[in-house]
This record gives sequence, C-alpha cells and structure tokens, in this order.
Amino acid sequence: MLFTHISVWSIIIPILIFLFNGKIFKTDLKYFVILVFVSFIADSFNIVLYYNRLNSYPVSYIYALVSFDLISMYYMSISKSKLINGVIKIQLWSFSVYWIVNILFFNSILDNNSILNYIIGILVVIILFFHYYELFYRQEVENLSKEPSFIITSTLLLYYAGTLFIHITRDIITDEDFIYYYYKIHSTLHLFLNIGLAWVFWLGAKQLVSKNKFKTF
Amino acid sequence: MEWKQIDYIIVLGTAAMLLLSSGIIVFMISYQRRLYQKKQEMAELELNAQKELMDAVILTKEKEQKRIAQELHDGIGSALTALKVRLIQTELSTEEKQWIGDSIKAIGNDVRRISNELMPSILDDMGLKIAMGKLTENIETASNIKITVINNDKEGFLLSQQEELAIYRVIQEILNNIVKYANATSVVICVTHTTEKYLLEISDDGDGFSPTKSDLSKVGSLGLKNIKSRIQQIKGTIDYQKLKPKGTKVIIEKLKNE
Repeated sequence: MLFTHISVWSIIIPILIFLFNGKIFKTDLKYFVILVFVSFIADSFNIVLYYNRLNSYPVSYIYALVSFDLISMYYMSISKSKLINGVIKIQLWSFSVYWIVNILFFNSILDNNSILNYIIGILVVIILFFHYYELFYRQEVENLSKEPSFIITSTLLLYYAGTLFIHITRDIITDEDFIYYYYKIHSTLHLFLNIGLAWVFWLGAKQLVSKNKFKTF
Repeated sequence: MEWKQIDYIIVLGTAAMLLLSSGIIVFMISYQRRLYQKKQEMAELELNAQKELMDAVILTKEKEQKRIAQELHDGIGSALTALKVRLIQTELSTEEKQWIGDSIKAIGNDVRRISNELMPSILDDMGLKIAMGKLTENIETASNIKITVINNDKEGFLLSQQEELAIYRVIQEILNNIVKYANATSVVICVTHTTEKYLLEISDDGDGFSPTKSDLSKVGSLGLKNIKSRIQQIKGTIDYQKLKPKGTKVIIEKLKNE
C-alpha cells in the first residue's frame, strides 16, 4: 500500500512546480494545472474514504469525466486544425452524454465501471495520435523532446496505453492476484505521469521566460 | 512468489503496450528532427533562389534606368540645346522667343531631373554624402518637409560604388514613403560613419509605422521589399521603430566587410 500512497502523493511535485511558476496558468497548460489540482482533491478524498471504509467510486466517476474534459480542452486549445478540433469536440460531448446516461440508466455510481475507464483510455489515445499527426504535419518544432505539448502527449500516451490493458482485462480476469498487479502497474504509471506533468510545468515556465526575454519583432 | 499464467498475461500485456508507446515516441523524436532539417534546408534554398532573383531584378532595373537616363541626357538634352540655338536664328518676336526659350528650359530641367533620379550621376561623380544632400534638397523643395542631415563622419571605411548606390536608393525610397504616407513635417537623417560601421538613422514626426512580416509579404509593398533586398545585398541590417508619441525611426547598419 505504501507504493500506492507514494504514487498518489506524487501529485504534490507538479503542484509545487506550479506554485513556483504560477505564470504558466496564462498558457494553454492551465488545463493541466486544473487537472493536477482536481487530481489532488480526488486522491485526498479517495484516501479519506478508503480509511473510513466508504465507497470511493463516485469520486472516481466524477474524476474520470473531469479529467477527460480537461485533456480534451487542452488539445482543442492547441490544435490549429478545424477537423481535429471538431472530432475532439464530438468525442467530448459524446462521452459526457454517455457518462450521464450510463449513471442514470445502466451502472450505479456506487459500482466499479471498467468500461468507462477503457473508453476514456481509447478516446484519449485517439486525441494523442491526432496531436502527433499535427506535430508531424506542421513541422514547426525541431527538437520534440523540448516541446511541452509533445512531452505531455507522450506521458499521457504511456499512462493511458499502459493502463488500457489492465482496464480492459479487469472485468475478464477474476484472479485474486489481479488487483495486486492492477494497483502496482497503475501506481507506477501514475507516478510517471505526475513526474511528466512536473517536467512539463517546469519546461513551460522556462520557455515562457525565454520567450519574454527574447521577444523579437 | 510463484508466477502464474495470469501474472505473465498482465505483465506482458502492459509491457507490450508500453513498448509500443515508447517505440512511437522514439520514432517521432528521431524522424521529426530529420524531416524538420530537410524542410529547413528546402526553405533556405528557396530563400536563396528568391534573393538571387531579387538581386537580378534590381541589377537589371539599375542597368535599364542608367540606359534611359543616358538616352534622356544625350538624346533629348542635346535635341533641346539644338532647338534653343535654332530658336535664336528664327524670325520671331522677342516675347515669343522668350516664351519658347523658357519652355525649352523648363523641359530641359525636367529631363535633367528625371535623368538624375533614374541614375544619379552625382553619386558617381561626388559620392554618397553630396548625392544625399542633393536628394534631400530636391525632396524638401518638392514636398515642404523640412529635412535636416546630420553627418558624423569620422573618416569611415570606404563604401563600394554598389553599396553607395544601394544606400542611396534606400534613402530615396524611405523619403518617398515619408512624403507619400507619413504626414510628416520634418525629417532628421543622421549618418554616423566610423572605421567599423556605417549607421544611418532616418527619423520623422509622422503617423508612425512599423511593418510586420505580413506587410513585407503583401503584393503591393514592392518598395519595402526593395529596401529589404538592397540591404541584404550589401549585408546590412534594417530596423523600423515606431516612436512615441508619434513618428518613425528607421535604422540601417552596415558593418565593415572583413
């Protein structure tokens, strides 16, 4: 359980980076700043509910919707393609409608729902590939390893593609060991995601400073 | 702990997904860099081709202007002189002779002015400093804009004939733009010519103008493109500054060639 806690509390790293570089909230990265704070609140609630032996699935449900919406909004704000923006918008609305309909008529908010998680996984991966395509098509960046949007996309890809398999297999495999692996894998990728976000916040702030410093006509 | 089949499935499945994602990321980084460099090389080649074309256009234009200027000077100028001599011999009243003589003189002056604008012989004969003085004098007379020239000449390095012509043309174009669009009442030209650099600053008190990249790419802005091209030709730099509360300052700098 200790490792799970480390991964959960690692959200503090990007929060700290943001607190030192508050200016990044003026950039498109603001969606991820909000996501980080939402994640922090959701994880804190989850821990409190867990120790009080209460059901934490409602928090996870709400977090799933909010995180997907914020990720979609970030990519809509940075995309220059009307087509890609349109597709992301359709995905966003479709998923939001599905989320409400699912809770109202099919699955209770108090039960686990793996389908919701892997639908998010698939939809996010689609958005990420759209962004890769756009980066490739536009050819505006020489070194992608220093481009915040690429780093964030790659971090999200590793997280969502990595967790996609365990989300899909969660309903199929009923083995007791599965939960053990599920949390181990998820926690590792979550930790990696938080470090990735922290790196992007730091890089975003650094680029913002250099952009202002060398503002040229 | 003994590994069961289910453990392998979970670990290998996730590992495969992660490996695939990592592969995509690595491919993106390496391939993107190569593509970007190729694109940059192509853009550079295109830019060079455009520059060469622009240089050729300017050169041809200069040659043509020189030819027309010579034709005007030698052809029409000589014809007018001959006409004036012939006029003296004709039997006309003194008033008529005076009127025709004045007209011929006015036409001669116009021809000389046009010829001079097309190819300033004064530039070849007396150099940039004198030619610039003459140019500002002409523009001042024609436009009612007060032009002050400040020369900080400190035995500067020698500018080649081509460089002098380019700078002269740039001044001509900028002053024409000020007369046409700036609504200015006065212009200050400051020349600082040292052993290291030639610095030209043209300031006006007009509406203020600072061209953007899109201004330079507009079809109509041939004058601005010409200025840029001529400055590039002599390996100089140009900077437009919008002054506060009003006016524009154009700074042209040409460093001594190594």
